[in-house]
Amino acid sequence: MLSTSVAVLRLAWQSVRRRPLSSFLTALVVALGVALVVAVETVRASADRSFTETARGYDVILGPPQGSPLQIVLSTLFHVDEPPGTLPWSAYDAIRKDPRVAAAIPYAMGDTYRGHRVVGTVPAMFEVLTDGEGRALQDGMRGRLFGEGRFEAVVGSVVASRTGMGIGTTFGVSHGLVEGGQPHKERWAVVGVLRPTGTAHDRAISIPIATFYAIPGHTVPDQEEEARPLSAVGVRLKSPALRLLILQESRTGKAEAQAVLPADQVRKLMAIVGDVNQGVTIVAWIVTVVAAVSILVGLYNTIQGRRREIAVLRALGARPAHVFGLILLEALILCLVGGAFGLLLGHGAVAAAAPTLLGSYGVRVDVGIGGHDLQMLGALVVLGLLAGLLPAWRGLTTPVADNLQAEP
Amino acid sequence: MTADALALTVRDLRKGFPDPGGRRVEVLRVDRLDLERGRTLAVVGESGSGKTTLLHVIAGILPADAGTVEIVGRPMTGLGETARDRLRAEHVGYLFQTFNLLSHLTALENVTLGMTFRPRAGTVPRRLAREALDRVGLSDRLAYRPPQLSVGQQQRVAIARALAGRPGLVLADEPTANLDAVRAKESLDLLLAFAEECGAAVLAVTHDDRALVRFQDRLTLGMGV
Repeated sequence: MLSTSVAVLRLAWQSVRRRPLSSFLTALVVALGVALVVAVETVRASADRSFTETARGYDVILGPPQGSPLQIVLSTLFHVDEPPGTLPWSAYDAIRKDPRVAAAIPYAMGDTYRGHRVVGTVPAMFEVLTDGEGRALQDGMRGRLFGEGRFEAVVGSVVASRTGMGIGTTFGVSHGLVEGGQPHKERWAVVGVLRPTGTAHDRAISIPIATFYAIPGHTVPDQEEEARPLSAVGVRLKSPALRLLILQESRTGKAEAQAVLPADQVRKLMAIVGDVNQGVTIVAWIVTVVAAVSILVGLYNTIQGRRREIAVLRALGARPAHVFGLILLEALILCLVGGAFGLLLGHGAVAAAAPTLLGSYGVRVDVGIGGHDLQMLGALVVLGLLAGLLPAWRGLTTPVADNLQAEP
Repeated sequence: MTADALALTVRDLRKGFPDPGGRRVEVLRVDRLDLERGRTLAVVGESGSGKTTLLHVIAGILPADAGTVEIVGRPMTGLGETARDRLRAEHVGYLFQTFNLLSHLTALENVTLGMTFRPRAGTVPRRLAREALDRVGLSDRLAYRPPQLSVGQQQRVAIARALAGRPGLVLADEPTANLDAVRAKESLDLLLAFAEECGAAVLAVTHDDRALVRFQDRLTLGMGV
């Protein structure tokens, strides 16, 4: 039984090899579909993780009372939206003195340098925030953190690679969060460059918050420190369990700030982005299914020309199940060989693009075969079997006696 | 005579096919046929007398309408398709007019294929296939594919495939029809000698008068037995 099965498998492999061009092209279509699924899924999962990890540093974010919580999170942690307004410095003062708070990091934003957001903050931010591996942002950085009140800056890895900025580079910033704003005359010197962290800070320039306020127009003359405007405050609690309490207090307290939970907002964002991702994944799967259909059509058409071969196999004692299995295995081989090649191609493409994704977009992708790939192979087995069913049935019903007499 | 000594027993065999009008037309009628192991039988008859149909029914490729066929004492008629396939794989060697070698397989693989579908085949077929190819003088052509072989060599591979598994019965359909006189004689010599060594009976359909005289018995279809 086993030896016959092995022999049928060998026959199927020989049959696939007999049609090198059509087999190659069919497997290639499968490979491209699978590579697309792999690439989309890997980048999607990595981007999701990157978002989630970026949101991990703070338990709560204090933002302006106006604006949506999602906008506050996006502008503060991901630097992708404008802050919806300001909250007073006094709100920061109050929260940092709260005994339940482990760390409070102020953010003041409103300027850019060549399209990269400039964030006024404090050096402690680089200690409080971590990357996906739990390493503080400051770990492994080149140079040093900026000094409080000095016109110094720390730039992210993407900023450094895109602008060519390095330690010692001096620069000025422009007003507004889009390029082309009015340039300010103050200049900062880069004293530190972060390693690639896979977070939004790779794309930002951080300066001391005091120097942000030194820019004309960011504060009104003789303004009390208490009234200085802040874009947001990132809050790390001594116990994350307290975050709901803080949220509740925020809702019932003074309306100078609102507390938002970044993890909740990221989940909401993922639900929105997930629909788009799902759409792309569905398209990639459709490509793979189309490839399976091409296997079906290709094999089905070959059966016409293989009636004599099938009849000979039957005359030599092959049972209907052997013929059925032979053609089914051919479909499976094309699907799995194409699929395996597609996995390599997909992961290879992701691996090749990984440095660019990290350097240019701050997305750290996981390179390597994972559990998802096994699911993919499982799905390919099912697809291959489905693609082979109709041709196998046609082979099964080939009349033996008639075709033994046919001219070769 | 014991049943084991008989390679083939046929009794009251009938086979018909529907005509375009749907009426069943009988094309084969064999009342009695016994073929001992080691004997050779030529089947002759006009076109349409049912010669090839007889081969197909004996081999179990087509079911009989009536009557019985026994191969080495085992009933072929009355069995389901799968059981007929098994019996054919185990006890029948088949030699086709156009050889019917699979062009993408080597000579060794083609011969092995003839035994692949036997129950519990194991690794024996490959060894037997080598021996058979050696017997037909093609031990130096094991890895050649049919298009790389001459017509005579292809016929020898086909003979090796039919006999490698030591079947009780070899069915041959016009075994010399595609060969010139010299090659036809060589092939027939080889087939009959190899079959004798294996103790197999040979039943061959043929139109070739030169071949006819080489067979011990003759069955003329369409004229009674």
